[in-house]
Order: sequence, then C-alpha cells, then structure tokens
Amino acid sequence: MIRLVSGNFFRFIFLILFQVLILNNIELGGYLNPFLYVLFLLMLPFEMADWIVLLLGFLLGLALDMFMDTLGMHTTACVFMAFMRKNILRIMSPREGYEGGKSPNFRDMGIAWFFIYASLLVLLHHLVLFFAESFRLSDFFPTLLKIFLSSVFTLISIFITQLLFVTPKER
Amino acid sequence: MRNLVLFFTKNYFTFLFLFLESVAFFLLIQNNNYQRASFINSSNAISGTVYETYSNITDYFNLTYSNEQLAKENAELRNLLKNSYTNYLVTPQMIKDSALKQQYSYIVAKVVNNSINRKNNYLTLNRGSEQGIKKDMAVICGQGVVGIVKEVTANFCSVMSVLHSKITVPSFIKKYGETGLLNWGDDNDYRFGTIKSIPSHLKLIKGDTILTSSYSSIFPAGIMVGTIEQVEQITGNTFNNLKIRLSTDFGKLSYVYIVNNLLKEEQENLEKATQND
Repeated sequence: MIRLVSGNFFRFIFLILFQVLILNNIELGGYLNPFLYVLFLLMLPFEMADWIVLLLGFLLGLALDMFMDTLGMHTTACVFMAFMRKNILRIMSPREGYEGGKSPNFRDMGIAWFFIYASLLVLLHHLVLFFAESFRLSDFFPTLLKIFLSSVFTLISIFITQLLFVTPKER
Repeated sequence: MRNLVLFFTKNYFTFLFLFLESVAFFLLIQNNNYQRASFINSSNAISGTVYETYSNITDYFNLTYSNEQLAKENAELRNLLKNSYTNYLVTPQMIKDSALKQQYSYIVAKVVNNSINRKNNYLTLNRGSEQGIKKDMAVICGQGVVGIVKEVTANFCSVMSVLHSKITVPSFIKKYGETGLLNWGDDNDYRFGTIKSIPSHLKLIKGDTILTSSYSSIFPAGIMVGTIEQVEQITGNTFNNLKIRLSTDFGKLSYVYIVNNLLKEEQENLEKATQND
C-alpha cells in the first residue's frame, strides 16, 4: 500500500517536472508538444477508487495549468480523461475482470491492449485540450490536425517511457 | 427522500465528474475573460522558484549566445555615447536647458520561463513588486520589443509576450511614418507578426524597418519591432496587410529590460480627463 502511494506520488512529481522543464521546450514543427504527463492517469492501478482518480486528474491538470499559465485548460482535459478512463476500462475489461494488484501497462496487460487503451484516452484528452485552447469552432480542421499530430507524438513518448521504465515479464 | 439519497450515492461518480468539470470550465472561462486569475499562474512562489532554479542551470548553456548579445549591445550603446557627444558640441544650448526630464528608467531582468508554442504565450521574469515592477510596464530587449507586464508578485512577474493573441503594439513604418497596430496574427509562428490596414499607395519593400510609435503610453517610441517580410495584397481593397519578421528572437530570450515610464500616470490622467467631456 505504502509502495503504491509513494510510487504514484513520485511519478506525479517526476512527470510534471519532466513535462514543464523538458518537453515543453521541444518544438516540433513550431507548435507541437508531446503531453507525456497524461501517462500518470493512464498508469493508475485498476483497483483505485473512481473518485480518487477523478480528484487526481483534477490536481494533475491544475498543477500543469499553474506551470503553463493556461488556467482551466489542462484541468478540463484531465478531469474529462479521468472520467472516460472508467468507461473505457469497463468496455475493455477481460471476461474474468481485472486481476488484483495489476496496473494498466505493457507488462501486465500486453502491448495491443495498452495501445488501444492509451490511444483512445490520449485522443480524448487532446480533443478537449485543444478545443479548450482555441475556444471557437472557426478553425475546426487546423485544430483537428493539431490534435491528431500531437496525439501521435504523445503516444510515441508514452511508448518510449514504457519501454525504458517497465521491466518485462519474468518467465 | 431515501430515494433521492440513494440516487445520489449510486451516481456519485457522475456527479463528482460534473462538479469538477464545471470548476475547471469556470476557471477556463474566467481565464479567457480576464487573462488569468491572480494566484494560480507561473509567477507564484512554487512554480516561480522551480523555474528560476531550472533557468539558473540552463543559463550556462546559453552563455556564449548571451555574451555575444551583450557585446553587441555594448557596442551599440557605445555608438550612442559618441553620438550624444557630437550633439553636445553642435548644439550646446540644448544641454544648457535644464528642462531635460528623464521619462524612462530601465530595470534589467532575467527570463526564468518562456513559451513560444502556444496561442497565448507568457514569460516569467525574476523581478517583482519589491524591485518596483508594476502592472503594464513594457518589456524590451537589445533586439526589440518583448511584451507587457501582466501580473506581479513579490519577486517575480509574468509578462504577456508579443506572441499573444490579445496584445497590440502601436508601431510605425520608419520610411513613411505611417502608423499601424502590430499583433501576432493567426499563423502562430513565433518569428512573424502582422500589421493590418496599411494604405496600398505606399511603396513598401521587404526589409523596411518597423519601430514602435509614440502613441503608446507603455512602449518608448523608436524601439525596433521588426522588418517587413511580405506585403499581402488584398484584391479590390485600398489597404494591404504586412507580414512582419520580428526582430526579437523569442526562442532565445535570456536577459530583458523592464521599462518604467515615469510620466505614464500623468499622460493617462490627462487623457482620462479629456475623455470625460
């Protein structure tokens, strides 16, 4: 239990600092950023209570907004993502349900499962985030393109992080 | 009553979601209307300190570039000195006149955080109210204009950069004196800005200089803004739009100057008095 809390706590701090200090300084094609910090919400364990996930999403978004001067944008996107996470997990659950002590990652759930899970949630998160940013429908298609491209970069960064930090299954 | 309680406990997740999402949305709207709420932004104690520590480290990587910039600027200042010396010889009566009054004072500040890839970009500087910084002061650097101070805490301030959808910089074309308002434009490229509605009879070419005009109570007149990159002609219209290459390299800002207009209050009070008529 303590290991679970401290592990997630450090991941929270580390991902925020990594996002604001390093990733936000990367400019791909002028205005594309990978938003790796959503990995925190993706990797919360299955058995964590839903309301804690929502509150953590709120806190995560607020922390990001504080650093990036975008009050409300990331918070809206993260809370929405935390809400959809529950629904997507329910739809994608294996027939016998999720086993205790497992987390959504490469090792526990397999690459294909994780890919679908991560891409759906990242896409939803970016959808809300970028429409909250542009705040109008007049440039609908440029925003869609931005959402798609940013999602691809976020997913790539998520996969690299998973490969680096999640140790493979012991046989 | 029991059913109502049951209904809420059963659907607590949805209600919590709706509650948190409305809080977030409220913050978003609030932020869009008033630029930013006063507490949760990058100039508060936590994020300000984190950004400053980070910038203290990364400054070493920019040292060569900063030195080069400073050397260039020193050279420019030296030129100015020489100029004023010759002026003194030519028109001594100007100097005897004791009515010269200082209008602007400059405070050097370090950029501890900067963004260029969003729709509305801000900088954080390591100067605040304890160093005499106030809202709506101009920020410039050796190369040109940077932005306007928006929020001030004790030791930090956050600055609305020229790369912000809501900023306008009153400026003029050096060759003709024609004035216009510079804003960032729509293509979100940190190297370019736009000036709209310039009469099409002016013969403008690529490379013409744009400076800040004297119509602003924030920016001093004659600060470099940029050069014309492209004249965008609109068919059937007597006005052209100008695409401006900004002289400030926003990707590499490290030291900037905050400009205190000592006569700003006087000017604004006067303008307010005539507005009431």
